Amino acid sequence: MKKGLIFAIFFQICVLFSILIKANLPLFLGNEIKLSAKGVDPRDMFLGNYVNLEYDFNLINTEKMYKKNQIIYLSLKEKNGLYEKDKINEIKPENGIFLQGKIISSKNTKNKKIFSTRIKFGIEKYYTTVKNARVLEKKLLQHDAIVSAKIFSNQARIIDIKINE
Amino acid sequence: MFFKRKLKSEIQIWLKNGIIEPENASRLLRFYNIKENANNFSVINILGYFFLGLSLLIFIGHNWEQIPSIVRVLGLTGLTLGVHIFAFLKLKNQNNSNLFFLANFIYGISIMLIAQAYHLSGEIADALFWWAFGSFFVAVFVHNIWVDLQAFCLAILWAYTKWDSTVDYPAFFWVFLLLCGVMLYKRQNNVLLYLFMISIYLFYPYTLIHFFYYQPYVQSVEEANKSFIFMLVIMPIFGYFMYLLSFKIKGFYAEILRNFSFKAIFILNIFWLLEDFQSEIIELFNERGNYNFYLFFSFLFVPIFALNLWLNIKKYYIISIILLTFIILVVNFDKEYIFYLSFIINVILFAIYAFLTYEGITKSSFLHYFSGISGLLIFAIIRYISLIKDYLSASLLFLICAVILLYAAKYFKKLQLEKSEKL
Repeated sequence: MKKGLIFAIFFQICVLFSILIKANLPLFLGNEIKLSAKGVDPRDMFLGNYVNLEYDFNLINTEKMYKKNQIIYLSLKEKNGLYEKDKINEIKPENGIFLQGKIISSKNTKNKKIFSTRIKFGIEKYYTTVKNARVLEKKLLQHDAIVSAKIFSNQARIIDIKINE
Repeated sequence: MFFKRKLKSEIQIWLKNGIIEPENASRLLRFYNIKENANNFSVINILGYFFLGLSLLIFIGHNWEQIPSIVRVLGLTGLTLGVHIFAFLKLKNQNNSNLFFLANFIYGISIMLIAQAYHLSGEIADALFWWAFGSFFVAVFVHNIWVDLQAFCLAILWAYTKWDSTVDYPAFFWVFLLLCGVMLYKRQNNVLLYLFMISIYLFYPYTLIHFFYYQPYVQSVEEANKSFIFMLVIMPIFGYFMYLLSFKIKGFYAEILRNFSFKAIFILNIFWLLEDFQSEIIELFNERGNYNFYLFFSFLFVPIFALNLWLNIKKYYIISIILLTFIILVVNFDKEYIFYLSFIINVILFAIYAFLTYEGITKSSFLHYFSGISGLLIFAIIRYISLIKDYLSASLLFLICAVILLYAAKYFKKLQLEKSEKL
């Protein structure tokens, strides 16, 4: 029993370290990109206050209907120092800058050949103090944010957020 | 649990008033598996850890972004390890394992902190999964009822969050259920047993619906409502299976499972009295004419009949056949004739409630008696408020019910008289 318990405790610590390493990998090995976003400020029950970031590639028109929870890859292209959407791929691209996303919903539009598709990329929340979150929220009502993120192996991590005043 | 508390206090009163001798008191306590001198303060201890954990979670929520992420995360990971080591030593020296509850809590907070520090906005369900999994791992070895409960509550929270946020099927919940079953087998934990039963009661019907009824990505509010109604059809049948299963379980849990299943079936069957529910059900089966409902229901009835063979009790064979016939009837019923089905359902339910009352009286079973009487009263209220078809039909139904009750009362009195004469 004692050996098992020691193993269980060790397992928990390993889980923490593996999550920590996974969280850090893009920061150490990733390429830095800048993205434009809008935002609002809610509270997460477990993680505290955050600014909810909405990128222009969170909601896009697609020519096909995707299944909920389907994994897709969004290629990005650079324009005036900022990265923006290029195209959606269902297979992981071999090169270029791209983000891995998960389909939230894919619905018909008035034009029956076009579908309004909402995608989540895992960089939609910027956790900060209550005070900062409120300041950011106010500023984001009038201005867009420039989000600096690092991408490594299709995983992105936010490193900084600045208001584009 | 409440019964035991009440019994313990009653026994103390009997002792004080000289109704029973101390030896009888000890025998009674032993018979009901009640510890004689144990004032269980561990619940206060655990609540203390719980509030400590909440305090830490809120403290982390403040987001100390001026401290580098890596320092914060490593600090909390160190704290997790430290509390675990301390809990381990306490277990070794004082045989007290409650501190693992706090250690598991801090472990979860560490996961949340990493998500916060690195702005990971993936699914919260993933974080909860690792929290639950890690906690289960510890719980399996610690043998502490609070740690078991904590791990299972986290597993339930994970399954709910996964279903709610992504409409994904939380398949791994079966593993958690299995682990919970192992824990229950190894040590008695009534609260955990109730949670376990509620989880199975919801999860098995949900599993059937998920795989055989709807596709998550085309789910609409209307579809979700239909699924819910469908679950209400499945749950009492599954409850009946659990009821039968309780006869094959030995020991203390059998009684709890039987009582729980009985109550669940009783409560869930009340829905069948509602006309809207009946018409929704018929519509649902009518709409899906091509759908193979028999395959679906076979996942419920094959285990029921297998258990029947195992039990080999005539009464339950008859009930199972009636139940199967009823389901076949409902699945194939044309919605144009819903009134007749409604009438049949009402008469069947009324007969069940009347029979329960009879069982309650003859076998001195409070559960049967209470369920029977309340069933009959609920039946009267629902049918009085919502008539069946029209005034005349409702009046006729009440008349039939009255005749059944009055005749039964007369018959039972006669039987009792004959019995006492024989004596």
